[in-house]
Amino acid sequence: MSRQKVVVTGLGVVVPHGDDIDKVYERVARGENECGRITKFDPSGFLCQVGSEVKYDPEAPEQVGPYTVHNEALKYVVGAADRAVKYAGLEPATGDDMDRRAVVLSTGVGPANIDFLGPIALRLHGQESDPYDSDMASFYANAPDEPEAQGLDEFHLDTAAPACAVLLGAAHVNNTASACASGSHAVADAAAMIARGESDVVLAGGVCTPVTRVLVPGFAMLQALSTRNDDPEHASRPFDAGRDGFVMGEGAAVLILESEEHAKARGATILAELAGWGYSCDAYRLTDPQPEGVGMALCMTRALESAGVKPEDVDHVNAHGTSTPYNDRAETLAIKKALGDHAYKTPVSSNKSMFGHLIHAAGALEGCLSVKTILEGIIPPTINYEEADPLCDLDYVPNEGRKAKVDVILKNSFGFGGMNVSVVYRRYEG
Amino acid sequence: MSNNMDRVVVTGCGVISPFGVGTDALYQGMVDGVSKVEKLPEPRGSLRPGYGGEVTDRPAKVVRGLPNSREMRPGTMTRYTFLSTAALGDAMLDAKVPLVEEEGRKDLVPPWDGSLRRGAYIASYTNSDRFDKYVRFAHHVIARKQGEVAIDDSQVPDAIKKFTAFEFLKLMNNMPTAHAGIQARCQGPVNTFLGTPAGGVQAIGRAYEAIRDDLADVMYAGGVGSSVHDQMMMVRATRKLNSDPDAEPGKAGRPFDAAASGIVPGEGGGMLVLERAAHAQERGAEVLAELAGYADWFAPPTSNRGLPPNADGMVRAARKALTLAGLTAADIDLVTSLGESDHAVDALEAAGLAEILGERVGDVPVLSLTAHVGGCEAAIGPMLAAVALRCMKNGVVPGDLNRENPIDAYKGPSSPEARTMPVRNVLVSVMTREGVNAALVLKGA
Repeated sequence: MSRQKVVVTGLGVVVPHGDDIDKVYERVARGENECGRITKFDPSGFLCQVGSEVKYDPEAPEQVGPYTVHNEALKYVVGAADRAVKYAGLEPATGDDMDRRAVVLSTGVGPANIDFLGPIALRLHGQESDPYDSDMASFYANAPDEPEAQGLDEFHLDTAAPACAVLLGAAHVNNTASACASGSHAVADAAAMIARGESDVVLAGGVCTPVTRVLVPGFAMLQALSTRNDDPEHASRPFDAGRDGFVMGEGAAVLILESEEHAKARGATILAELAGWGYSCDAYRLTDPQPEGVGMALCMTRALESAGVKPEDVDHVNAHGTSTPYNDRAETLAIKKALGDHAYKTPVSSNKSMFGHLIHAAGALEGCLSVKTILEGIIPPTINYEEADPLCDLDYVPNEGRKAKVDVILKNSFGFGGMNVSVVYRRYEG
Repeated sequence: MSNNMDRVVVTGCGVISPFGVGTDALYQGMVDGVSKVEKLPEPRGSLRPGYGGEVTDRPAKVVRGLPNSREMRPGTMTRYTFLSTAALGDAMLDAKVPLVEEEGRKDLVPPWDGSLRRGAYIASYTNSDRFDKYVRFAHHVIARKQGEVAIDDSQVPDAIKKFTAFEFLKLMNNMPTAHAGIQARCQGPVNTFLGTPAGGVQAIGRAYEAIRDDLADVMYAGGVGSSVHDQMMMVRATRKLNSDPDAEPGKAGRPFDAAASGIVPGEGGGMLVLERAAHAQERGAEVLAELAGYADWFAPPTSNRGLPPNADGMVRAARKALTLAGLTAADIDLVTSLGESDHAVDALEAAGLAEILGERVGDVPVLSLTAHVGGCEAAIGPMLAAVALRCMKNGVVPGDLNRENPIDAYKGPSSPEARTMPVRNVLVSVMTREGVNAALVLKGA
């Protein structure tokens, strides 16, 4: 069976920089920052007080088929999917045609928001009892009522992918998660479905809303987050010597992938080719990347081989670049392993310097920006790059976007637990 | 893509269930007509329905092949990760894959023999099993202000100390697969499938595709599920999905039976070892069956928490899988089902089975776990696939426990006793109330 060529025909985002991908890219290419002190709650006294938030109310359908869009995360992902489907000029498929459409969506962290738990806790314990010593039997004996149950649903976000499937008219739904690699993982899995001839159109992406009272202090306890609380606008500083962790970001991003044949047949505007993808697992530790970057390099090499691209053909690496000491050092080593001497000639930048880490949506958002980079010819910078780290010695496109003809981009995404994915985006030549 | 059409075979299976570790323990329990659905200990015993099929023992020795790491011990895992590591270790033993501890390799320097061509896809609805902690946390930080409930953010830094850093790590929903990657030394594709009870079959199906796409020679694939913890029991209680709390626990799970009263909590894990046929042959592995076809189909429900209007999605998934396997309903000797023990869902599934099997519907046994161990979510398909492999090997199919008075829509056979019969081809079908349906076909080796 011959492999189908995979192309990108639609992009959609609801992210801190906005909900119009063209404008989001313009802002990112200019190096505009959206990280800052958290505003959704008062983070005073928190170990980490920095986040990257969606501070506007994005437009999104309130109802998608049978699904009520009842929380922020659903609103973000349905909004992004709706935009992507329209960007691609698609209508929902019906009947047997639905068999040729699919959704691969990563919905790792739901709101995990304690706001909805408050009323439950108050009702069950009363305000006077000590919550840690009180009799939990009363809690178990009184199941929450219906509105509270909807809050419980928010832990799972299990209607997000089906809602996207209704928007696209897709008969196949895959809901996946590989932590921080999830967004690119979804894109790669979607591309594989098209390449093997299983689908013609796949909506792929992710959503994450981790800027909550539980997850920000929780991940701070894991020592994963920046604690640059006195200078939050400069907290996300990938590859800089002063980096001290990542900044939690929220939002959703989606790409529409299509077989070239299908896109051409319907006269779609093809934005880029999704030329190759590679997976690997570190099989090392749950929290840290393999320090020599073995797994990271492996998935980059596999992606290049899958695309039929030589290391010297790579024009730009859109890095995972989280701003943690371990990741950025290991990723630098891995890029050198994968690209050899060409690594030193290749602009490497981290979009996360401007909007933090959108976890399950990160790879998809950065994939959207990679497509725009190929189309617009400006490599977004790594902002907040002030002091070189001797162990991170590549060209990180410091602080200012750079005009360049970019034909091939290697996009990296690496997750907690050692799950790695790289994707190759290439200029579509027709 | 030169190997795209290579055959994929099953060379091992692993299970952990309320019967213990091992496919044989579950299979024998089912053949003997035993239910392990029992009263749950307090305080969960006070939460509806108060009973379930629970894996009660978590000895460290159950988990095989994990390196001796501070992060990776049964005591630090969620239920889901524990079930996953236990089922995977069992599957690796069944497939005679060398365990890391037996190789004497506890170091963490890749590659290991064959690791570049190994991967793992595991499904789990969630990985969160400590809801009480969240509620306690919430209670600590709420205040009533002018009659309204509000969050007092100043209490958060103190309240968060009731969690440990590890708890945030272990609750991440890719942790079962992350453990599997380390446990089985996988440097190939590794991913987690979320969502519905069909997820376990989807994980197996996608692993099958990964081998056919030449991404791996060996894939560990399956699913885990647990609904005997407070979070899942409460979600179901609020949606009024749980079975009758007054029912006798061992009689509560009644798939396709008129006296069924709702979902019975359960838990377990199931894992298959899939291999490229040529790879299995090369290492002299015993082939249990060929995984000959996989398909899924999503048909949305009629409302946010409603049911699909009909069984069309289930039928489409099964027929597509059969076609890919080069089989028809006439070739199927056994079907495994969701068998949720909920009237409306059972009726939908029964209608789907009748349509898929046509005139053979009265002859083909329909296996279900629910009466024996409760509903195991994403583990249902993989656990039943493992049981089906034993049926194929032994020529004995378990009876239909608690299916005493089948609902009208159910047209299949019902036998209180185990049946001796040849089983060559099996349709593993999982339909779900959420509308995601998945099916795979196991062909006799």
